[in-house]
Amino acid sequence: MLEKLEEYHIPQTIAEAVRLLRRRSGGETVAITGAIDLHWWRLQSARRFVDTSRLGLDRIRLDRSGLHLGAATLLADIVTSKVAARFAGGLLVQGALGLASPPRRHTTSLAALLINAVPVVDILPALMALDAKVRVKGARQRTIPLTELFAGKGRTVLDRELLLEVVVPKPRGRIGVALERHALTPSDDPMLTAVATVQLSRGKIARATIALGGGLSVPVRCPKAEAELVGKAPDLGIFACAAHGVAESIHPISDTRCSAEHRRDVCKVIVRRALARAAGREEPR
Amino acid sequence: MSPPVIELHLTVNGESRTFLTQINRSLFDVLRAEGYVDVKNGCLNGDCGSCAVLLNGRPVLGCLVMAPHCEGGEVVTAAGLGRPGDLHPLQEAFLDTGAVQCGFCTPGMLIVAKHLIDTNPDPSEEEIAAALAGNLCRCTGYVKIIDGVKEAARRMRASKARSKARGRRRS
Repeated sequence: MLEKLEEYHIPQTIAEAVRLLRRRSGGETVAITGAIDLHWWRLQSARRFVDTSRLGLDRIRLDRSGLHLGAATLLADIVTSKVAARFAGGLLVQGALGLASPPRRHTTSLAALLINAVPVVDILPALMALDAKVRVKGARQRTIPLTELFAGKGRTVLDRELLLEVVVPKPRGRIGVALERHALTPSDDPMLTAVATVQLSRGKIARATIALGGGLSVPVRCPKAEAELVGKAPDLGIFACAAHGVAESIHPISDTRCSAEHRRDVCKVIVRRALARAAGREEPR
Repeated sequence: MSPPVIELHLTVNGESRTFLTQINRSLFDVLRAEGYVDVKNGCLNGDCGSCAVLLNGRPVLGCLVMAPHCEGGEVVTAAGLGRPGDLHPLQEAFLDTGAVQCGFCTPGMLIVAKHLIDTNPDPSEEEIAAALAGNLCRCTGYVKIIDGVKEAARRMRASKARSKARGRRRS
């Protein structure tokens, strides 16, 4: 395992980490936060690891622009963060708990999930539904909406750049949130996860977001269904229609857990439930 | 070119140690090679929890953590929780409640349970089950393991209350 690895760097400054990541010679360089986990299979060709766990990128803070989660923040620290628990109805805490094993939460950072476009941990669709952005640094610093970060299975648009932080904007006004996951057991990876946020104004839907994770190549947002909800009454029938639309638009995978067809059926149910719950119209089970 | 060798400085179960290891090795690889056989070789994929150790107070899976990342760190394995004749309350409670059958998963269970009780001295059954969600046992059905953790937590709370009462009497 990792037989090609020739260098292991633990930079102490962001500038040093960026310099190491931008080096072209000597084969593939991969940023890790000390552990290999859901993405180990991508690391077999790595010649150089840059361990970004000692750059102070593990802080969680709230300011006027929103919630800032350092890229090296471990899921375990999000679970125990009071700031994260109070933000957006605790949606991000619920998302971090989607990785059920505490020892894995103590080694898995946001960066590890983001850099490798891991769809199976619920926090990524949760971040996506909350319009999160990532701040990265390479030759220059730039901000990328999470919806534009993933370039396909296990790939991102990052070009030898260091992930600095995830910024989740403060929701404007009251927002309802809900996360629905469908899995064989509570601790298993989900077949599919749906996250919805709904903002109501004068009895109508002013804004809605829908994000999916789990049995897809990468987490996705569903802009068409979101747009169709705006201006409508938060009615269970409307949510069922939106959920059907989402199920038609996604490209789920078939794997050992279930088929793509089953995931589409699951999608119709969990998107409807997530929207209903986010709008405060919980349907009877 | 084979991965280079580095010196790795760790405190393992209270003892300062220096190991020579290749940079592509995991913490698990290093500990097993040095004879810490209570760190079990289960799946080596992060799925079973049997290689769990405490690294700087956090429960981690030795198979997923890169050895160079641990430089200067403090590691506690299940064997470091207590010693024969002076067992940790968790080890005692596991024996008393029959939480150990084949014993293969036990070290990982103990480590995760230790972290749980340190952070939550009175966990409910649901909280114990959630904490052990990443530790697989193929013998017990988990009931006695959960009983063991609950009993250990009760004993530790009782022992803490006794020490507090003694302290008050002295002052």
